[in-house]
Amino acid sequence: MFALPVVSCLILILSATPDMSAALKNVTGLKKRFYTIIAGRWNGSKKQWLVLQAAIGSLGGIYFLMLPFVQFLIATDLGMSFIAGWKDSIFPAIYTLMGFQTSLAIILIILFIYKRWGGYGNFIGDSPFWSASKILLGLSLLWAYHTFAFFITFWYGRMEVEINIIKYLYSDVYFWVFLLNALGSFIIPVGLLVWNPVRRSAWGAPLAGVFVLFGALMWNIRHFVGAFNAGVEQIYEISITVVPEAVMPDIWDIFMVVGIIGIAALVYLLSLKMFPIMNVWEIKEGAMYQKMGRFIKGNYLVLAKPE
Amino acid sequence: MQEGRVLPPAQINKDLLTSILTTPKWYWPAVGVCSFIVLIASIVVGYMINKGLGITGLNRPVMWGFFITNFVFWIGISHAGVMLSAILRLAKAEWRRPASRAAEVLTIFSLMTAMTMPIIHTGRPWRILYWVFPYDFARGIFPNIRSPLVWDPSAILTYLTSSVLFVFIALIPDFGILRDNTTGIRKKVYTMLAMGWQGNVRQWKLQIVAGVLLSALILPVFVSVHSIVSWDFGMAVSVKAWHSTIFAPYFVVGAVHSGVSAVVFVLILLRWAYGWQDYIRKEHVEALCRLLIVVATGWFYYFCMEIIFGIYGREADEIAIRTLQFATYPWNIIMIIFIVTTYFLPICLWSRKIWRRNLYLVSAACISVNIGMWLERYILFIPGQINKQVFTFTWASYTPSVFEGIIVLGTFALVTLFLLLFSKVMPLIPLYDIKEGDILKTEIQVGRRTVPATFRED
Repeated sequence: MFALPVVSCLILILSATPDMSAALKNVTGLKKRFYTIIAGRWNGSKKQWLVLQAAIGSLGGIYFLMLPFVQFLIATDLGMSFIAGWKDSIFPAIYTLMGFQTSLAIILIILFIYKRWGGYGNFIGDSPFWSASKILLGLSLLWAYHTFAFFITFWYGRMEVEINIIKYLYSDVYFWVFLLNALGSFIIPVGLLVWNPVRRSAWGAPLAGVFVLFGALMWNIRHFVGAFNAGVEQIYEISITVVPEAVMPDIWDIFMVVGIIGIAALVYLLSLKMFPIMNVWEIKEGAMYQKMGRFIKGNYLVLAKPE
Repeated sequence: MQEGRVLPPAQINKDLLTSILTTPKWYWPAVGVCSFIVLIASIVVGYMINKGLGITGLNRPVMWGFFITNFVFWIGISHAGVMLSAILRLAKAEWRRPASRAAEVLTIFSLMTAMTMPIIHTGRPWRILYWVFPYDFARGIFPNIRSPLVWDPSAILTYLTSSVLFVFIALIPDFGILRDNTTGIRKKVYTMLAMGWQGNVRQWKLQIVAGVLLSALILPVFVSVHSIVSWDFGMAVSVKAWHSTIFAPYFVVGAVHSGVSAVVFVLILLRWAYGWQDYIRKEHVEALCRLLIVVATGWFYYFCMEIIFGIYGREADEIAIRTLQFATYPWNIIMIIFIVTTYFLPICLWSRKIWRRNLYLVSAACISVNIGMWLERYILFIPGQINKQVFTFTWASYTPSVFEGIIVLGTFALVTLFLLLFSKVMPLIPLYDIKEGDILKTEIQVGRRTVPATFRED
């Protein structure tokens, strides 16, 4: 689990290296020292660019392979293992999928904030939202598919433990939380993103992203609060025979949730003081590979494929 | 994606209609061999219907063996069509163009072949009539719509219908070209099939919109088909290794893995057989191999989850089945062959660009995948049934008979025969798609380099 943040930090630092090198002349103090350590030897030679791209690609692949494993550990250790008899092979996959869905959602929200209020409107067009909205739509549909695959298998099996788990996490005890989860993770995002004008706009995908984040919060509350609560009395049983009661949050729980979100936002804002918001070199590279071209009667985007 | 040269439309017509307008020397012998194998398989099926299922290796408790394994295998192969044609069309991947028609056609023929398997498997196929119609036939027993076995034909027939429609819509412009390049009775048939296609602006717009809509609409069907097939097993509580929530996505990803591998192999064969090096280029094969790496890794993740959670509960009967699969001869050998051929060998062969562009290595990898995926279904279905009953003295074994092997071989020959016959009447590479790709090609000057580019509609 520590490897994942280490790899992600490495990706962050590597991808920021060319921009840090470009900014070296204009910074002072601690920033200058930090930038010198990271990017002091960067001179933009062909070899350095090739190594940088290979490194980012390799680290990205490693991160992508490690992520499902970490999500599997968290989902199983902190969720499934607390509910006696809950053996659900798709649960880690749903958790991983939600990880992708929520991370994309938050990226879209942040991009929208930069575009609308951050003064980066000239650098963030509508096309990132148009492209990413299709992925978000696909992930929302996949969430519903995986959730249904779990539900129908357990519902059809009708074993006591399966019925109890469905009653606990879906239909009885945490029903309203499940409903909010389904609305946030699937119904509203899909309802928004099926429409082309919404997907093409800059606000459509971020709006869907807000609901996705809310839905994910409900999902996590349902599963992890439910799991910890179920584990209190029945953890040593073969399977749960009594459906536990729901745990209602008190004011301290709400403070903790808000505080965690606040900490994440604070860490992000502080990191903006050190790292550029966008990779300037990637923006420039993207601009080199695009132009508008005349085709029959209209002007269309021409996209280069260098490989 | 632009290693090839831009060819004039007349040259494209001539090259891609070769399979229809001319007959290579190998064609009729290939049809003959396939037809012979199909005939032998049909005779064996008739013999089995006459003598009963006892001539196979099926017996209590293993009631599903080679036939069901083969059924699931061919349903899996059918998933390549939507993957390559619909999903890549929606993603605007240029490298899908030469592969889409072959993939769609393989979908249809593999679905048709898959559907013969449960029919043969009944032993008395005519009794299916009592089962498919929502009528009790005066016996007071209606088909059980709560059974996944009843969901199956609904899903498969929906997929077959929508795939046929999908292929037909895409074929209309090519029927127009065939109408204009043939004479006699063939011209009449193609004229009827072309349905008045003139290639004007309105018709092209409608054709493209229909293709995009069908691509989007067929996606849920594509996911549902193999999910429902997986639930034939996943819904069964009595067989311990089957009742797993992950079966649906596991089967779907496995289907895409085997299906796309089969399509890649078919493309390489077509390139060799018809001399289509200008159309099925190494860059297409390389792009497909990169897609397969992602799909294979996703499949491996689901496979690991299925195994881990099989063992997770530490239930004695489930552990017994896993012990059979991993630690008992010959299942452990089959398991090793399956894992190596499905994932590790192909991933190694696809890992380097120079190997992805070597068509012999890619063919070997694709064949390996399909051998492994057939074994995957075999090792998933049989051990669970062997140890199905609680008492160990009721555990049996399953030895497939030569008759089952011949029938399974017959299905491979049947699909090959269908493809060969199709190639004689309709083009296996969509002409208009290739021409559209050529029209959209352009270049961008980046510094001192000229980089291939393409026009994007959005």
